[in-house]
Amino acid sequence: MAKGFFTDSTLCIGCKACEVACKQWNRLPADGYALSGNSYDNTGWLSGTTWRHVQFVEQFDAGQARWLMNSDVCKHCVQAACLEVCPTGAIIRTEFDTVYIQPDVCNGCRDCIAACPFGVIETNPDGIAQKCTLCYDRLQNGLEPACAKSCPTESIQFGEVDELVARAQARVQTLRASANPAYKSAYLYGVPGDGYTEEIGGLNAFHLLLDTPDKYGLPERPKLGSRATVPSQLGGVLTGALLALGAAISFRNRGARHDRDGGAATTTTTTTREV
Amino acid sequence: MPPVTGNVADPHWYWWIIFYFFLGGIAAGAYLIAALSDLFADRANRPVARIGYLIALPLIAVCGVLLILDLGEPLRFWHMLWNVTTNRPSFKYWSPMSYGSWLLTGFGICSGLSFVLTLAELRGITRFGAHRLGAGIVGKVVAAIGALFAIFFGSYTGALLNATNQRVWGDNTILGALFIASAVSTGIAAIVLILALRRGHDGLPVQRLERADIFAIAVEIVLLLALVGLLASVGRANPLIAGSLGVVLWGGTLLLGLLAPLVLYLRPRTFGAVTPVIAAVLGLLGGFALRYAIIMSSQV
Repeated sequence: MAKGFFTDSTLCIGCKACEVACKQWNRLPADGYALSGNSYDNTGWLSGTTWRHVQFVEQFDAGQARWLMNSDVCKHCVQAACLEVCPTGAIIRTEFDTVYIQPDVCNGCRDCIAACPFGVIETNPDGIAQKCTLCYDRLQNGLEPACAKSCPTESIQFGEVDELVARAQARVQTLRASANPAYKSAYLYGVPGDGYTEEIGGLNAFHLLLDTPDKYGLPERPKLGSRATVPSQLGGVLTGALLALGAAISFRNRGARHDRDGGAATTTTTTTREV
Repeated sequence: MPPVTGNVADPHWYWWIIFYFFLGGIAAGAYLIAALSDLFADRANRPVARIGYLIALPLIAVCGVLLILDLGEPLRFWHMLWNVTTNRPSFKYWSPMSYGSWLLTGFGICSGLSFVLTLAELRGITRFGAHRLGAGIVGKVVAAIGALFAIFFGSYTGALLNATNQRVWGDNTILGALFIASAVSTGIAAIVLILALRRGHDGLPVQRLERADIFAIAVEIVLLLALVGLLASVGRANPLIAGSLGVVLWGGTLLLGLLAPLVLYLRPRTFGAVTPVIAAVLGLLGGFALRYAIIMSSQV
């Protein structure tokens, strides 16, 4: 049974309780006190030591202003690009259908960082790749993840993915039917048939959003790395074979032509024919 | 194919990896050329095979060190080959990083065998007829298997970058082809450099290598322009062709690294006797510039 998050951005008030609860439970170090100047967002991005990130998107349009908030997190993709490329087997699919990086197995090659379409993974101070575990240890003990537990507005909801999707779809209907015009654009990012995440089979941690994915730093078409493996490797091998053929033909030459001063035109013609 | 988008994190593959790609490419190219020389050329070409085998192993050994140093937990490098969770070999044919680790291992073993056989030949070690094995059937079998490994090993690094969601890298699927072309070209350049420095430039082996390199350079130019065209078609060429990386790519790779050696090969008296040496050095620098530009294009 897949467990996941439904993050309803319309309920987020930007309190960052999820960030703090995550750091506390997972004993993640602080990231310093830099003032980013970017709205109330001094967290910046998800990283090896930051597994929840509350985004503050300020929008000004024709005298109207609005503030979109959204608690970003690992999406625990149904088909995860990080898990797919991981050469050590450190990244596993757990019994809860979540994506978990075993810290004692990862050797810090960072291929998962290059593969993740969401920029979720980075290395921690120990040099290994880390990200949200969906509180694997809490789940194993029948508890809900720390962020969902701490969220005061239930913007972050934890549960069975099927139930969460049904609840989220009902929520979208409610929002769209409301009098507030800002809610007319409500939609789900990461559920089957959303038009965005089909190539990775959807997300076990999905979001309800009000603006297009790019406004929240989300990709329009997240992909799997393996889409390119066969075409690129095959192209490489065929090119290699072609070059090997060219070299072999060059090597068969018996050296009849020793005229090194024969001039460029002659040489070019000869070369083309021989190659 | 729409470009990959979103806020992706970069993997911090910097100098260790740039040098790995560059030196690994030379090793693969030099070994492939050596093996082809072994399999298809006459005895006049024997020095080419020997030089190729003698440089492949040290380079691949350096590559192994570079890769281990790049890891966040270097002592766990063997996790690439052994899955400690399942206690089985770790192998994913769909993940270039995974099968590439096996290619490096297999290519390293072939390079080692060819290296030892070549040393036995040069040193005239007669026990078990070792000095004749390299030029005989044993050497040819190793060369054929090693050549296959070299082609896969020289191109998987491109597939590795393609199989990501990074801008530029993930926006095309021809880096495997481009990297093997660069590998063959730089491998030839390395052998030409050693051959020309040791024996002068006029030998038949150097002429043959130059002809092979002319073809490799032509293919590489076509692939490089195809790459830029493909990236431009999805609006993603700028990170690679604009700014300082553009200078590296156009000036370093295309002009100095590909077109200049091509001209020098076709006009071999331009700088007198050292012309092939200059062409080879430029070719090597161009290969390095290519790896640098492509690796940094998605991480700046």
